[in-house]
Amino acid sequence: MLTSIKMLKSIIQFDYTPEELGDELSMMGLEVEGITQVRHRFDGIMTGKVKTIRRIVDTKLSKAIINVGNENVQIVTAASNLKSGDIVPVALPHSKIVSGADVLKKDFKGIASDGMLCSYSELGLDPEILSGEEKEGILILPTDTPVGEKLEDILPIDDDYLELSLLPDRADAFCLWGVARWIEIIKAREEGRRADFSKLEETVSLKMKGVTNIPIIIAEKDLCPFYSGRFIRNITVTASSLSLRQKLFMLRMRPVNNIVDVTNFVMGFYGQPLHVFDADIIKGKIYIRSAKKGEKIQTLDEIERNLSDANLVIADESGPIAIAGVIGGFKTAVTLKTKNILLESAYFSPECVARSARSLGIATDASATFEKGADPLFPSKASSIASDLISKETHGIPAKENAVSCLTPKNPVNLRIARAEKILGEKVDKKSLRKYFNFEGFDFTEKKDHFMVAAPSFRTDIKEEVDLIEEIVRMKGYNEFGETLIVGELKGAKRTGYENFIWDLKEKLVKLGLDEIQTISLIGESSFDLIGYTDKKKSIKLLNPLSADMAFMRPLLLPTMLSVLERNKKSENVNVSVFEVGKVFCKEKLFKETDELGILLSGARTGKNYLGVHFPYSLLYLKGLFEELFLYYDVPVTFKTEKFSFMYPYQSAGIYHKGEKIGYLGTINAAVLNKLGLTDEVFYGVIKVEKLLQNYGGEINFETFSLYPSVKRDIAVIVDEDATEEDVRNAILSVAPCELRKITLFDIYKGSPLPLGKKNLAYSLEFSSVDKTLKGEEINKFIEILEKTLQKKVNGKLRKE
Amino acid sequence: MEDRIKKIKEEFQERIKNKSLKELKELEVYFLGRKGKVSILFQSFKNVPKERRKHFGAKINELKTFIEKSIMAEIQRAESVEVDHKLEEEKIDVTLPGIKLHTGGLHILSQTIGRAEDIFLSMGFDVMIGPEIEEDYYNFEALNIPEFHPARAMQDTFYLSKKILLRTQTSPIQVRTMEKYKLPIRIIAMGRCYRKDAPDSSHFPIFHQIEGLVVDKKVTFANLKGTLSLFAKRMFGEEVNVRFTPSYFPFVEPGAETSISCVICGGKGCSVCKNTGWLEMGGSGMVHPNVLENVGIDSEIYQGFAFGWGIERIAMVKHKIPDIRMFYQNDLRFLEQFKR
Ligand SMILES: [Zn+2]
Repeated sequence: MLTSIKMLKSIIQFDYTPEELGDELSMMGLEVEGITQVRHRFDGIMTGKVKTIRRIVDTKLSKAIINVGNENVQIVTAASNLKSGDIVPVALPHSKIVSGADVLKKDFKGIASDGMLCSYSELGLDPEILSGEEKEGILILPTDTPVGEKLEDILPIDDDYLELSLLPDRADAFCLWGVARWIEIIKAREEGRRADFSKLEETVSLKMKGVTNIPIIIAEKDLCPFYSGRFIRNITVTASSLSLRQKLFMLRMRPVNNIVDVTNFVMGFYGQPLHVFDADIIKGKIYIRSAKKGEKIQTLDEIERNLSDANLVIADESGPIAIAGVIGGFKTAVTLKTKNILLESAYFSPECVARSARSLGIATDASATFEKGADPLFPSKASSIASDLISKETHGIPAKENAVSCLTPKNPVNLRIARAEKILGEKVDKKSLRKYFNFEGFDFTEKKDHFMVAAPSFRTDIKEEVDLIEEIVRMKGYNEFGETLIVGELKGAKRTGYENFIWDLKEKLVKLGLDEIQTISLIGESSFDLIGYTDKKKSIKLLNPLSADMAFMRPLLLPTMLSVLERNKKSENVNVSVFEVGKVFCKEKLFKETDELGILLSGARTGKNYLGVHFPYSLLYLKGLFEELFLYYDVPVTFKTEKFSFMYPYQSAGIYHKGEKIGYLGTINAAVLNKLGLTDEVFYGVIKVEKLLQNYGGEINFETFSLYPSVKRDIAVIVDEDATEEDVRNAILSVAPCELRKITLFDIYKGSPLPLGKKNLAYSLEFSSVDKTLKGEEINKFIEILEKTLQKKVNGKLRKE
Repeated sequence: MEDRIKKIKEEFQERIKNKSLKELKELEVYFLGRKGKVSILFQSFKNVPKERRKHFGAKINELKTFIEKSIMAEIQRAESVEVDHKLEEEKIDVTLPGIKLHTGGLHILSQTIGRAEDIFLSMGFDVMIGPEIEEDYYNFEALNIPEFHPARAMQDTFYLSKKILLRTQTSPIQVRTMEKYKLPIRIIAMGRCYRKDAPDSSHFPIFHQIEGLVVDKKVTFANLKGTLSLFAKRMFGEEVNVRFTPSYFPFVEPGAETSISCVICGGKGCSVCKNTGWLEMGGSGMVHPNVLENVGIDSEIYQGFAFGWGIERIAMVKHKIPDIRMFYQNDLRFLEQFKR
C-alpha cells in the first residue's frame, strides 16, 4: 500500500521526515519497506480548454484550438476522445513528459502544432489503476477544473509515499486514517501523553430528508452483527468533482464516477467497505442470510457464480443481490441511469467473509478488510461520511439510515502483572503500564495485581492477555529488553539417530569423491515421458501446482539429477560425479515419503592432464562405490542383471539384500541422453537409504592381524566366455582354506592363444595366518583341490605356465 | 731412484687432474696395476744397495699410498659428479602443476544446516526432523491458524488433498515434538519446506527452514533475544547485532521480526540492506498459549519461545550469494566454490 505523506498531513500534524516516519512506524510494527518519491511529474504542463476541434482531411489527426488561460494554442492530435469544452492537460513546447522526451513545436503537413495533449500514460500515472481506454486516450479533467493552471496544482501527485507492508492482524492500518492513528500513538509516546483519536475525525453534519423505509432482516446475527441501509434519492451519476478526484489521485485510486469514487474514497481513507444498490431494482425487503444450495448470482464482474451455504448474501425477494463483504451483484449495480440508491455500510465477521471469498476464489479490497477484522462500531459513521459526500457530488438527498444492530459490547481484557513479568523476564511496574495504555488510547481500570483493559473498537487484534503483553513490548520498545540465556537442566543435546546416519552417509560419499547436489522435489509430466516411467498411477499430483513442470512429487531422483547434468553441460563441466540424498514420494494407501541415495557419474575422475593419465567413470566404477558403501555399512548384497526403461538392457542390475530389491544401477541409454542433448556416457545408481541404516551405529571391535609373512600365489582360470566372474570366484572361495585373506582379480583376457569362446581370469591370492608361517605344501594341496572344483563347478581349468 | 720416485709423483699429479671415472680407473692400472709404474719401481728395487733399501722402500710405499688415496678421492668426486649428471637427466620441473584427482564436497545448504545445528547443539538444543507431506492440522490448525485465518493467505500452500499438504514451515515438527516428548523441550526443527512462490532471485517454491522451540517453566522473551543474538554471532561473526521489530505470526505473541546488522556494509547502509543497515532473517516470539493448550500443555505453568529462519537466507547473507535459484541449479562452478 502506498500512503501519501501530504494526505497524512491533512489529518495529523508531524515534523518527521518521510524516512524518520518510516523508521518510527517500522519500529512500532507497521513495516515501511521504502519511500516512493514522485517529483516534477508534470513540469511545464498546463490545463487547457478545447475551444474547437476539427478532423484534418485525409488523416487520422485533428486540429484543436486550446485555450490555456491568456492565449489560444493550436495543437495537432491523434486522439479521438475529445470534444469542445473538454479540459485537458497541455504540454507546451519545452515541457517534459514522463518518457523524458522534450516537447517541441512541430509541423504536421504544413499545420503547426504548439505542443501536445497528454494521456494518462504520458503523464506517468500508475497504469495499474487505469482501464485500457483511459491509458490511451487524452486525460479529460473534471469540468470544474480551472483553465491555465499548472497541472501539478490540479493533480497534486508530487509527493513522498510510504510503501507499507501490512500485517494480517492489523486491519486498522489498512487505510489512510488508520495510519494517522498510528502516528498519533507515536506522537503520544514521544510526548508522554494519552493518544487522542477524536481530533483526527472530521465532524459531519448530514442534512437528511425522509427515512429508509425498507425492512432489513438479519438471519445470521453472528455473521452480520450490524447492517445499515440508507436511501439517497434523486442522484445524478456523472464524473466526480475535481476535489474528490484529487483525493482519489492521492490514494492512488482510479476515478470511475461519483458514486463509485465516493465508496472507494471512504474505503481507502477510512477503511470501511461500502456497497451501493440501485434502489429501484430492489424487490421488497432486504435479507441478510446464508445462500441456499443452487442459488446463483451474476456479480459485478459479470461472472455468474454458484452459491453455497458458505456464502452470506444480501438478498431481496427475487434472490441474492450481493455477496456480503465480498462483491456486489450485477443486476442491482449503479448505472448512469440510476436515480435512487441504497447505501450499505455493515460489519461482517472475518470468518464469514474469509469462507465466502475463498469458496468462490474471489479476493477484493472489501473482503481483505473484513477478513483481517474491520471496526465493528464504524459503519454508521461511515454511512454519514459517504452520504454527505454523495449528496455533494450527486445533488442527491440522503434519508435517515435504517440500522439493525445485534452487536454485543466487548469485554475488557484482564492483564495480570505477574503473568506479564513471567513471560517477559523483566519487572513490569504499574506506572509503566498506565503510561503504555495511555499512549495507545486504551481505557483501563487498575486493580491490586491486574489491569482491566478496553482497547478502542478498531483494535480488533486485542483479544486476550498475551495481546496486551505484546502491547507492553511495543510501547517499551522491542530492543529495550535485555538479552539473557536460557537457564535449565543440562541434558546432553543430540541429533536423532537417523539424522546422524544421514550425515555419516553424506560424509562417506564425499570421501569417495562425490559432490552433493540438492535438486527440487517437484517434477513435470515431461520427466515421466523422458525416462519412460509407467508407474504414474502411484505418483502424487499437486492439486494446485505452480506450473506444469512442477506438478508432481518426484517418485524417483533420476529426472532432476539428469537435469543437473544438462545444466553442467551448458556450463561446460564435463566431469560430473554427484550424489543426492533426498526424498521420493509415492501414493500407496497413504502418501509415502522415503529417502533415497542416487549417484550419477559422467566423464572422468581426472581432467585432461600432461601425464596422459585419464580415469574415466564406468559402470563398474559406480558399482565399486556402492560396494564400498555396502561394506562400510555391513550390508551384504547381490547384483542381478535386470532391465529398466531408461538404461541399457545388458548394462543394468538390480541390487538385492536378503532377497529384497533395495536399489539398482546401470548405464543410461542414449535415447534418454539424446533428448537432453547429452553425449557422454552416464552411469546412475540408486539405493533406499533406510536399507543401509540397519547395521549402522554398531561398535567397531579390533581384529588381530597376522605378524607372519603372507604367501602370495597367482592363478589363471580358463572358463567359458559367458561364465560369470561371481561363479568363478565363489568356486575358488568354496574350497579355499581359512588362511586365504584376499582374492584379487587382476586380469581378464580373451583371444589367441586361447580357444574361441574361452576367457582367462587371473587372480592373485594372498594367504596368511595369525599363528604360524604358512608352508608351500598346504597351499599346493589347496591348488590341487581347486583344479577339480573348477572343473566341476564352472567347467574351468587352471592354466599351467 | 729418488729422482724416479719424484718423477712418477709429478707425472701422477699432472695426469690426475679433471679425469672422468673411466680415465681414473685406467690411471689406477697405469700406476698401480701389476705392470704399473709403481710395481715396476718395486721390481727395480732389487738393484738398490741394501743399506738404502729400507729408505727407498718407505719412499715407494709412501708414493703408493699417496696415489691410492688421491685416486680414491678423485673417484669419489667423479662418481658424485656422474650421479649428479644422471639425476639431472631425470630432472622434474617443480613448477609444473600437480595432478588433481577430483574430491567431493557437501552442498552449501548441507554445510549451512550442519553449522546451524552445531551451534544449537552446543546450546543444548536437540535436532528434530519430520515429514514433508503434512496434515493441515499440524501445519496450520495446531499452530493457531484455523481454516479461515488471514495468515493462511500469507503462505501459498501446495495441497495434495483437502487436508494433506506440503509443509510450509517446519513448525509441524514442533507440534509433533510437544505431543510426543516430555517437558521441558529445547529443540530445533530442520528441513525442506514448500510454498507456492513463483521463482525469482529471492523466492523459490522449495526452501529449507530451521525453527527453534523452547518450552519450560521460566523461558522468557529476554531468553529469546539472548539465544538468537548468540546464534547470530556464532553464525555471522561476533560484531553482528540483532534487532527485533514487532511483527505478527499467529503462533507467537508477542511476535517479532528478527534482523541482523548488515554483514555487507556493517550497518552503514548499502543496496543489499536497502540502505537500512539491517537484514531481515525471520520471525520469532513467545509461543501463543493456544498452541500450548492445543497439545495439552498447561499454558499457565509452561511457556516458551519459538523462531524460524530460512537456511537459504542464512547462506545467502553469509556467503553473499545473489540468487536463491543457484542452490538448486547445482552448477559445479557454484558447488566448487564452497569446498574450501
Ligand atoms: Zn548493508
